This record gives sequence, structure tokens and C-alpha cells, in this order.
Amino acid sequence: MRRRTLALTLALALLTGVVAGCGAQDGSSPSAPTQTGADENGSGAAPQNTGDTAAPEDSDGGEKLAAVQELNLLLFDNRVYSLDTGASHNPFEWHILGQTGEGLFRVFADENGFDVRELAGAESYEISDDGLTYTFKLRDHNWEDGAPVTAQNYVDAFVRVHTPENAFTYSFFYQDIVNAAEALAGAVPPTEIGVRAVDDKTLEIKLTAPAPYFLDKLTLPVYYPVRADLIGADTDSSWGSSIEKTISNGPFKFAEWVRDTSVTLVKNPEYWDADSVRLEKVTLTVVNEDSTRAQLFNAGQLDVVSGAADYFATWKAQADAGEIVRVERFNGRLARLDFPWEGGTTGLTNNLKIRQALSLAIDRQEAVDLAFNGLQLPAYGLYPTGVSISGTPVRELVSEPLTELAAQYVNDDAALRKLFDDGLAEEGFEGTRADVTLSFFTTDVVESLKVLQEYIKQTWETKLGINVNIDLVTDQGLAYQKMLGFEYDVAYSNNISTDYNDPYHWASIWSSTGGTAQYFGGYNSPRYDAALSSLAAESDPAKRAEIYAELERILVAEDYQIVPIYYSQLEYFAQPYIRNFDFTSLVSPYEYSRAYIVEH
Amino acid sequence: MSDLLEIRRLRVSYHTMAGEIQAVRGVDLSVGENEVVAVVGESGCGKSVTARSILRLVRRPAGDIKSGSEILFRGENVLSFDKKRLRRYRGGECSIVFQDPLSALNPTMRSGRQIEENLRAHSGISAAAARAEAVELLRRVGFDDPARRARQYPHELSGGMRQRVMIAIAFSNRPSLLIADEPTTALDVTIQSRVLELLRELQVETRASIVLITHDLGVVAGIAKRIYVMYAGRIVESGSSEDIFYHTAHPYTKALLASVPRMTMQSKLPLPYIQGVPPELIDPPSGCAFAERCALCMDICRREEPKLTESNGRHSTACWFETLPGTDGGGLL
Amino acid sequence: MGFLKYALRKLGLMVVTLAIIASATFFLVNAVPGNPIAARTLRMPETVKAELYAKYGFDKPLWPRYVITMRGLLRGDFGMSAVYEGDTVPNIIASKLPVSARLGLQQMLVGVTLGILLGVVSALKNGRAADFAIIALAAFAVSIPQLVFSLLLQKFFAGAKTGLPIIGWSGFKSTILPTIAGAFVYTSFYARLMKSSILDVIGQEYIMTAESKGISGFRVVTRHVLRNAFVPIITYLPMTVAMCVTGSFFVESVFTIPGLGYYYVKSVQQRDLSMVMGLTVFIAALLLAVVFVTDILYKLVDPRIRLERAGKR
Repeated sequence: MRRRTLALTLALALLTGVVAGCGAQDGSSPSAPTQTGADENGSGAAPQNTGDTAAPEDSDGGEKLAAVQELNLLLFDNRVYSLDTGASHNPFEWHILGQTGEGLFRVFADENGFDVRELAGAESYEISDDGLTYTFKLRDHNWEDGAPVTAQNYVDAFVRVHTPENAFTYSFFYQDIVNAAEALAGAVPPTEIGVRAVDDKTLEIKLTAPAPYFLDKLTLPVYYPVRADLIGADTDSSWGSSIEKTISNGPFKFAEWVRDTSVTLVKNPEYWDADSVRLEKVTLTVVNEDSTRAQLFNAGQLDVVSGAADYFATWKAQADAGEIVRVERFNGRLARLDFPWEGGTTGLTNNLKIRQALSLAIDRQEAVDLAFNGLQLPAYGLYPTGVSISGTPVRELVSEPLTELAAQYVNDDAALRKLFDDGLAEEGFEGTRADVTLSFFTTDVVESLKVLQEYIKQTWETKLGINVNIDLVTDQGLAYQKMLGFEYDVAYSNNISTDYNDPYHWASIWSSTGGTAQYFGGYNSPRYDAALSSLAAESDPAKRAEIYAELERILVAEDYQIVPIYYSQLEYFAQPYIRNFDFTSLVSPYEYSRAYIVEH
Repeated sequence: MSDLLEIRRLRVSYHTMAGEIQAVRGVDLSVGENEVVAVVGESGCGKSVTARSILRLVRRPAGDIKSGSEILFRGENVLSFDKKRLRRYRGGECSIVFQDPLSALNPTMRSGRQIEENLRAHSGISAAAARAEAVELLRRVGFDDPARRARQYPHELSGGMRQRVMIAIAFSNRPSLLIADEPTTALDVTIQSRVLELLRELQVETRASIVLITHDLGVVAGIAKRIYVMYAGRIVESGSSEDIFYHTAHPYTKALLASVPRMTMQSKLPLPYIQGVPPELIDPPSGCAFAERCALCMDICRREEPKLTESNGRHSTACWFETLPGTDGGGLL
Repeated sequence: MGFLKYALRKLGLMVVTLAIIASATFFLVNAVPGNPIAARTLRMPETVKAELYAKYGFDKPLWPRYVITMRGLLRGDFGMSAVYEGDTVPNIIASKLPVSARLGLQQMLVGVTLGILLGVVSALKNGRAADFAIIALAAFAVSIPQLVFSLLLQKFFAGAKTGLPIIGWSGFKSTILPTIAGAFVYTSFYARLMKSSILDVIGQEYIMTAESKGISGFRVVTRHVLRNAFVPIITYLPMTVAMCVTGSFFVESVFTIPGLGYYYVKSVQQRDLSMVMGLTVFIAALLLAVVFVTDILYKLVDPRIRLERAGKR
């Protein structure tokens, strides 16, 4: 999902990382999950909780449960706009809706911090041989009012999402489903999409083409089951504006929601796995000021903190001393620069050689060290850390295309300049490099990003001898217009998040027909499009990996449409007495339905 | 005649940024029972300050009644009253009527209440009784519809009416002594005489003594028995009305009388006035304060201040020309 | 009878003023390019996008939208939030105004009372050490930015042992710090106002009249000095109330208080047109009503004031 960098700036210092080294606390590291249902035609038993399922008294550390099982978290920014699952469109909403509801799957984090998809609302599933039909057997479980969760609930949800009048932001998401696109176009009634309740406990979804990543798409709360009898047929989603009409089939339910302020969740005793849910209450509060966050965390009134960068040094020291816990987590984002494919302020950045010079001149490691104390990972490709192909982290299968070239050129000023000059000549530019002024567009005001952008500007000005103007626009609406109008030569952004765990999410963004490329420079490459469509016919993970590699190479190292800078890492600090708290990386930052507090 | 009020050696100064202004420089004054006494003089001569001192309304820290001054009310020194005694005295035994009734009345309090306030401060009467009494007082001072007037605010009344309200307030506790500080100066001439008439009536009725402060000699003629003339902070002449008007001794008094415009004067002639201006009281002259303006000024006048000397009966004057032997005194001119 | 005509005339003026304010707001908000929902439509199929735009009226050009908006305003219908699904101006006001109002009134109570007390002391000790101390203190208090002051308060009071929550709005204790944070803006103003008003009144002759009646010093101060010195204060109060009741952005933001001030600023930032219009009109109406009340109050409090040109006595 495209994100305004504004959203990310607040979550700026949020990094994804490995739980490794967070003290020798037992139980805080999730054990290797059993991959139930991960293979084709999988079936499996109830998902294992990450961490110990047995009572803490039996755990290695001999820890006891604390008397008060309450968690205090940050409610990031205040972007919870609606509680209507169908209308949800950002990770903050998804995170909460994922705790107050349950879909077919639930995502936990493994010991390396990679997201793991486990069966939840579904007990088992089958995929047909042609990869077009998915059949899910639902677990026996009830809504909080005792009514059973049925396949029809899911069907109702999908139908809502595909009803054009509802105008849901994420209505585009499941267009793999038969008739989904037609329903959205109004050609076909939404009830005719390829989702059907075979019986109360069996849900069948039919796709138009095989999509190996489809199961990963079912981790988004957008399709979570809904109670049509309660919410009625309204199309204005007003039921999502208060907690009155919400009903839970998940580990928690809403106790209170105050706009822009806080969300309070309490345990849902009707949850099918309520025995594993030990937290009684979770409070998420908006805290706008860094110093306030720090005060709260230090006073023990906040259990997990992020974003107060000024205090990180102190906290890091405390973490090293074992007093608190530090977590680094990737979060499935790529900070990068976009070029306009055509046009732009000067039009010079359409030129391949100029793009090459700009991309290869940047010393990514140095940039990241300077701006973030090395916290972020320098990026030489498209797919961020955390993304996997059928369960295998992408970088184990596909290596980054730019690494060698970057190493070769980064200190070779002469070669870089020659590239740039050649580009200028090709464009018929009258004048020298010194006459060039490029417009560098950004929307960020966070200190560390300003440092980063300054660094990039300096790099280009010194190594290439050109002029660079930083054009800062903080207003969302204006920025949006600017991007659509290509009123820049190079634009910084970090506004795409990974909606589902497959590189296809990233690759498809630069498809010329998807509608999104327009916003990221207007890329239009038939070769790229062809490679992308070839994925439809390929279901073997290894072959798919090859195609993903090719796509990445075209985008980053042949057309140089984007300049990857770093893969986002987030940094969290947590109180030492929390267990089983998963820092998931992609769709939602936290998964704590099985978390608990020990005596402290 | 025992003195109701006796002022001795009164000296009052005001401390300002420019220096110490000696507003009153040694005044002796007495008022008997059932007597109307006038204090006349031009603006700035210290008569108002003298009047206010009687009720100790000279505000500190700027205002300062100098030690050595004595204000004896029935023998008791007002200047050494404690708070309680002072409160009984003010408004009860002695009260004051100010010059401008619009600014002297509380704008946010109805007229009747302002009278009641005075009543209730000096006796334990109930609110209802005070209200009735206030209405009565208003009737007494000449209001036709006193109940309605009592409910009105000062700004709803005319100047003359307001002054009458002030008089009602002042007389409400039947004081022995009333100070009237330029009570008619702010009023039309026609209203003036009515207010003065009222004062005279009330004086006869209650047998209160009145100290009438004014710059207008015409006002005092019918009402005051004795007159003090003040100039530059001192008494320059005192005596009975007849003495002052018909046997004027001090050159200043003479000049004052001469400057009163008369109906019989010819319209083309310029109005008579006294040449010069009164001296600055920050640094008062050591000699006679009137010296520079006096036609009869002699050397000694400039050097030494003339004392108030009795010439005949109770007629006193402070003038070297009049009182030095060898000069022709006795009220000529 | 003059009063009724006066009231009607004022009401009419109010309506006209509100219409102008609403129109101005509409055009100002629309003058900046972009709208709040554009960013969500990136991957939407055309039909869905059309539905979304139609839902919020963005499918029409400026003038028809203006007409629709103004007509809606007349009915009291401000439309729906384009950002928060299902929010309407009435229910936002209903849920957030009480919070801001309570916080604002508490701040006023503390700040104005303190200001008045300081003003009285300052007037009575005019020119002396206490007076200068108070003036300096008031000047200092008003120059600390509220944001900084709020953060400092949080720093000092963080921690369970102090018993004062540093964020949130539930229970009386959590209102204490935000109240303190915002109270001092009023103190300085009211202290100076009170002081100059008292000094002005003390110089009036009717105070001497009061003293001459031998009434108690206490009564002189209360019924004569203060009663008259309060007149300008009372006339300022309604406006202060109106401004404080609508909330303070900084205090609400730092202390995470679900108030109107914070929401309003966010609405503007997010370009949520219907909410911005609704809240602006509401606040404007509130202020205008306050002006009206002030006129009446002035008349009640100072009998010398007339609302109309009254007949000559």
C-alpha cells in the first residue's frame, strides 16, 4: 500500500529486525512454528502459538504469570479511520482489526523475524490441481454472541468488498477471484463473484488464473467475515464509526474507541482459543510527542515504544545491560528514489545514462550510517527484507542486481561523470554538468530523512558537479498532485508497504496497466509487462523466483527506473516482562494475541 | 459658645514626583454648634484639602497630614481616632457632600441603596426599615416620587437631583457637622439657589453645623455666619459675614470682592480680575504669599509672613499693611 | 420593546456573517489543489473511483458543490467526513466539545481566578515590590510556549508514584496537568486588566464618598471598588469562554486528549472539507452568540450602558 512518508516518518525509527539477542529471556523468542497448511493440500491441527503454550510455571525460566495481564501500546499516529473491515486500508487499522477479528489465517513471527502464516479461522484447506479452486474447511468457532462463524459470513464480506457503491479502497485487492473485476466495474452483480459457501463450514474460492501468493493475500483483514444480520446493507460504513455494531470472532473485542486518542481491547471469552489468550486488556494510545513516549515508557506505563529517536542511545544501553528488550525488525518497505519515465522538470532524468550515474554515485552504506547510525539496510534491489517466496526469504533465492555495479562505480568519480556527460550529450543538453539543476522532490520533515536527503544531494553535487534543489512539500494533497504531474526530476519516497508476503506485490506496482505506475514515475516497459504476465502461467516456486529476479533486474539495473536506497528496519524497545509478543513485519507490526506478562 | 470643631495648626502636604506640595500651611479654624461657617478662596488655595482633612479623607501615601496638626471634634482629636471610632465619626457624627455628584455617587448602585448603606452602617436597623427611611429622606430633600427615585441609578437623575441625593445621604444619620465641599459649583445657577435653600432648611431643622467650602462669595452671603478666606494654603482673613463684606481688611479679600461681576456693570468694560497667579506651593515663598499681586506690597511683605492678627472682635487678618502700626488700616478701599 | 428589535437585528446579522464565513471557508479549502480521498484511489477500478467521488460530492465542479454545501448548511446537514467513515459534524461535536469545553473551563477557572487575585494584590500594592513581582511573574508565565510547558509538566510528573497521569482523559486526575498547562495564558491578561481597572476605580470620587460614610473597609473594597472594577472583566469573560471552550491544539495533542481543537486542526491538515466547514461554522456561530451575550451582559452589569439610542431623559 502506498503510504505517505508522513505516516512512515512517525514510524520512522520503527525497524524490523531479528529478535535475536534480546536477552536470554526464555519464552520471548518464538520457537520454530509448525508450518501447518503450508504445502498444497495441506491440512493440519490447531496452530501452535509461538512460544510456550504450556503454563508459565512449566517453562524453563520458572516464571510466574503476573497478576495484572494488561498491555499498554502505542496507537501509531491516529490513522484508524473506521472499524469496518471492508473499508480498512492501512496497517494501523489492520493491526487492530486483526486482533478483534479472525480470518482464515493468522500471522506470527518466527525466530528470525520473518512472518509465518498459520491456520486460524480455517482448519484446513485444499487447492485444486489446476490451482484455480481453493476450498477451506472452517474451524468450529463462534462469534462473541454465540452465533457460529459460517462460510456465508465470509461470502458476505467478499461481496461487500466487491460492491462498487461501497467504494472501498482495497476493493481492488482480490481481483484474482473470478468475476471480481467485473463486479467492480458494475458489469456483474457482486453476488456472482467466485466465492461461495458450499455449506456452513466450507468456503470455496475460484480464481481466474493460478496465483501462488493467493493464500498470502488472505492475511489482510479486508475480507474478514462479517455479520450481515447486524450491519445491514448500508453502504456508508457508518457502522464502522463506533464500536457499537462491531462484533468479534477474534482473540479480543473492543471495549472503547476514542477517535484520535485511544483504543481499548479486552479479551473475548468466546474465542475458540481463549485459553491461550492470557491478556485481559490491551490499551493503545496515541502519543504525539517523543518526550511523552519516553516518559511513559520509563515509568512503565508503556510496554513497547518506538519512534522516540532521541532516547534510543540511552535505551540501547539499557537493553545491552539486560534491563529492557531491544528489537530490530524489518518492515517490508523500500526507501527509494523514483524517476519520471517521461517528462519531469528538466526531462534529463529520463535518460538512462544519467540515471545510472545518479544511482551508482550514492554510497548507500555511508548514507545509512550517517542518517540512521547504521540502523537501516542498504538496498541494491527491489524486494525488501521480510518478503518471501512460498516461505523462503526472497534473498535466499534472488540476489540483488545492483550490488556489484554499485561497488564498482561508487568511488569512481571520473566514470560517473563520463556517464553523466554522455547522457547530457544524448539529450542534446546545451551546457555542462555545472549548468544542470535537478529538482529533488520530497515530503519528509523528519530529521534523519533530511540528513539522508542532504547526503544524497551532496553526493551528486560533489561527485557529479551538478546542482540539486530540494523541493519540500508537506501537504499531502499537493504532493499527490505533484507526483501525478511529474513535477520533479527525482522523488524520494518510502510509501509502499507490503500487503502480502510475495514479491508479486512489489513487481506488479510497476506494471503499466495496474494504475499505480503513474504515481511512481509513469513507468511503461513492454518487456517488464511481458515478464510480469508470464508469472501467471508459472507456479513452480523456483521458476517464479527466476522471473522475479528478471523483473527486479530490469527495473533496477537495466532501466534504472528506481534507485533503491535502503530496506526499512524498525527499532522497538520493550519492557522485559512481556512474553510471546511477536513483532510481525509485513501487514501489521504486532501480533500479541498469545502474549502474556510475567511477574516483575 | 463651645466649639464643635476646632482645627489647630493644620498642615497637609502631597508628595508627588515633582516634590512636596504644601497644600495647607498652618490653618486654624473653629466651628461652633448650630453654626454655618464658610471657607472661601480660589482654586488651589487648600480649602478642599482642609475640608477633607476633617474627615481624614486625605489619602496616603501621597497625602500627608503633618504631625503637629490637631483636629478636635468636641474636644477629641480626630487625627488620633482608631478605626472603630473613625467609622462612627464618619457618616454618623460628621458627613460630607462633594462637588460633583455624578462622580461622587457609585454608578452601579441605586440611589436609595446608597442612602440605606449609610443608615445601616450607623445603626442596627433592618433592611426594610432602612429602605423606608431612605425613601423618607428623599421626600424630605424634595423628591416628588421618592419611592421611584430610590430605585433609580445616579445617571438617571439630573445634576440637581443627584446633589439632593448626596445631601440626603449626608443628613441621614443627623450628623452634628456637615462639610459641604463646593456643593453648588457643578450646578446651574437656578438649581444652585434651591440646593442652598435646602441646605439652609436642613440646617435649621437639624441644628447641624455646616462648613461650606466655596470659591463663590455670592453663595455664602445669605447662609454663612462666619467666613474664612484662604489663600495659598493659609487663612488670610476671618470674621463674621458683615466684617468680611463691609469691613474687608485683607487686600486679597478686597480684590476678590471687587472681581465679582455685578449686574450694574457696564457691558463694554472688561471683567475685573486679580493680576498674577497664586504661588507654587512646592516651594512656598517665605514672605506673604499674596505679595507679588498686592498693590499695597511693602518690603516686609516679601520678607516675612504676616501672622493672623485680631483687629476687632473676632475679625482677624494676616496682612502687614493692615496690622502694622503706622499704616492706615481699618478696612479702607 | 427596543430590546426585541435589537435582538432580531443582531440575529439577522449573525446569519449573514455565518453565511459569509461558510462561503469563505469553502473556497479557501478548495483553493488548495488535491482532495482528501485522491490518494486512496490509486489502485481503484474506475467504477469504484467514480462511486467514491460521488459519495463525497467530488465528482461535481466547484460551483454546484458550493450550492449543494450551502443548501445542506441551511438544513443543518454538513455532510460526512471524507476521512473518518461515518463521522458527522454533529456527532463529532457531541463527543468532543464536552471534552474541550470542560478542559477549557477548568483552565479558565484556574487561570482567570488566579489572574484576578493577582490583579487585586497588584493594584493594592501598586508600585511596591509585590506589584513588580506579580507583573514579572505574569509576563514570564505567558511567554512560555504552551507546548514546551506541557512537555515539562509531563517530564516532572511522569511515573506512577506522583499519581497524576500524563496522558489521556479519564477521571479527574488526568485533567489536572492539562488544566495547569493551559491556565496561565489567561492569568497575565486578567491580572493586568483587573489591576488597571481597580486603579482606575480607586481614583474615582465615589470611593471617597463611600469612605466618608464610615462603612467597613471590606465593604468599600467589595461593593464599591470591586463591584465597579469587575465591569470590564465581566465583559471580556464571554469571549474568553468561547475561545477556550473550542479547545487548544497543543495541550490536546501533547496530553492525547480527545478534544475539538486537535480534531479541528487535523481535519484541516487532512483537507476533510465537510468537517472543516461544519466545525468552522459551528465555532463562528458560537463566537457570534457570545458577542451577542456580551452586549447584553454589559448592559446588565453597568446600568449606564444602553443598548440602543434611548430617548433623551
